[in-house]
Amino acid sequence: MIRLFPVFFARRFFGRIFPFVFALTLLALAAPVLEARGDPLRMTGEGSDKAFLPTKPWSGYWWSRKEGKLVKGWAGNEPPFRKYDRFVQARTGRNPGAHAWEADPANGHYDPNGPSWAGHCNGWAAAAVMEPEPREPRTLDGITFTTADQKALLSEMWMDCRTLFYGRRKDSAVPFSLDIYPNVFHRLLVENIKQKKRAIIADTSFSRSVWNYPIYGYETQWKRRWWLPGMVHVTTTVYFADDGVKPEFLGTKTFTKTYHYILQVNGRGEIIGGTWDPRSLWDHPDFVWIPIADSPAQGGENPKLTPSFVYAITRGETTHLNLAMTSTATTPEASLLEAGIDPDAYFR
Amino acid sequence: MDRGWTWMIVLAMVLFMAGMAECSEGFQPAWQVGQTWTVEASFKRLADGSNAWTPPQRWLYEVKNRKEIDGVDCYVIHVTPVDRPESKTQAILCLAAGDLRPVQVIDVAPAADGRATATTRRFDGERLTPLLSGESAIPYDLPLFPLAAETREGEATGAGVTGEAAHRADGLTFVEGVHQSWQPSGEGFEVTLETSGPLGTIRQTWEPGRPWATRMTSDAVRCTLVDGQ
Repeated sequence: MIRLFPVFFARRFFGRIFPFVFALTLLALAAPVLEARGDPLRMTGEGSDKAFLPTKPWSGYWWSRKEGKLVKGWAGNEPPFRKYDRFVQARTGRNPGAHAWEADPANGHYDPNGPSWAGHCNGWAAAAVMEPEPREPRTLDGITFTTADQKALLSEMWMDCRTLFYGRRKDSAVPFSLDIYPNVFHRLLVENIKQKKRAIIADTSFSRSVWNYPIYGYETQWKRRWWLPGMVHVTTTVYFADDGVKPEFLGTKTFTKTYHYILQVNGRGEIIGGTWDPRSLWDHPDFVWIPIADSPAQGGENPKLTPSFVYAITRGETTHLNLAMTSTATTPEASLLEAGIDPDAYFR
Repeated sequence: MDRGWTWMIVLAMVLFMAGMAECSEGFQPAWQVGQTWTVEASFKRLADGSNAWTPPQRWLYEVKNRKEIDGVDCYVIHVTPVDRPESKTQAILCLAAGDLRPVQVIDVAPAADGRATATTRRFDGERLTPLLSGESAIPYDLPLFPLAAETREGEATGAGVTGEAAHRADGLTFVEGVHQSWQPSGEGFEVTLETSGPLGTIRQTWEPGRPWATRMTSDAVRCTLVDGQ
């Protein structure tokens, strides 16, 4: 061995092997840079990014259908819909029947024999994203609506809304499915949380049950390895608002989940696909959705609830501006002008 | 080379070119300025898992103009809600007159304060991009045209093509493949667009002489052409 050492470093031998070693070293150093040339991902080697909404969605109880707090009340609190009925009756002289509708098991909102996970989590999640948090009790016509009552009404009102839906809801007992692809999930995070400053909602449950939670922030880290061209290993921690709280809770209770995935990047630096890393293969979002606007009751929410009365309670307003199709009377061309589009540039 | 052989080769090339020209003519709807049609659409409520459908909403499509948009000769189509003419939700579709590929699309919708806001999408002419409604409330999705080439015997052939939907966000470009396939069905075509967008996999039925897909279904939406020749 000792005799071989000087031989290895003999001038002649070293002179032959040096160019190869040098070339390999140069390639190893240059490959990540070359691969990332023109790459808008800026994913040279490794890096990180994060984004958070300026205002977090609020936490609220998810109003279990099995427990039926909306119908039966809780801890001395009169059921919110009974208060609502009394308020509307005081204003209009007619009982709208919101409590009776909610209490009727045929309508599916109160189901003592139903699954333990079923509730109003989608209504709460949409309301938490789209409405300011009720932080003060309001007394109208002698009826006091606590913050819990107001959150209950908003959660019900947002059960039906216009949404954008990504991924596929898992309805079968088959343990494996792809659900939402990680490249789409990553795009939705960047596009909405960072760029549009808009919350998105994810069903975090990989199984058949649905647990919707609003996402208000993320921290992501990526790493490229030169021997795996076109692959970016990403670890993203997602920040959620939680609904595991009591009805009276104020503020935002949070939790995080960390997902691992691999993004595929082409020669132009464009993200063209992705797969879940084995660490997240059994624990990743089932689907993602974005509430865009409230809509009239379409079978999923209590049709006896009128948005203008709900807003009268929660905001002191009598108009409902958030309805997707509600607006001041106008023509389509007037709306285009209002949006900054010159109709003549297209139509004439 | 023998002159007879030369003429034979030239004749063969002419016949081949003629055959190619014939094969390149596929199906796409024909529109005229002033033409209108109505599409009825309803969406599935997926977030709560009820799988119920929303009440149908009708959308009026009108070919308002044919003019150059972003340097391309385009049909300009204005889509407005039928039942609520005062609604601010609408779209302007600027589609290349040659192959109906999207050039520019403007979506208008009321913001939280009630004011109309516009989102303009300009499409990269170098990408093969079908028109996907994406975040719009109006399901105006269109496949890549022409749909199929005819054989010399006049039979339509089924085939597929993979297009791209590109999204730019914070300096990143996300490109999602959109696989399109079609099969002849009666006199028309059954088209499938596999997307990763909000509508998922879209299936459309196109018939000659009709201005728009007579039927469109996906996991999230179902549409019917209710009026329009």
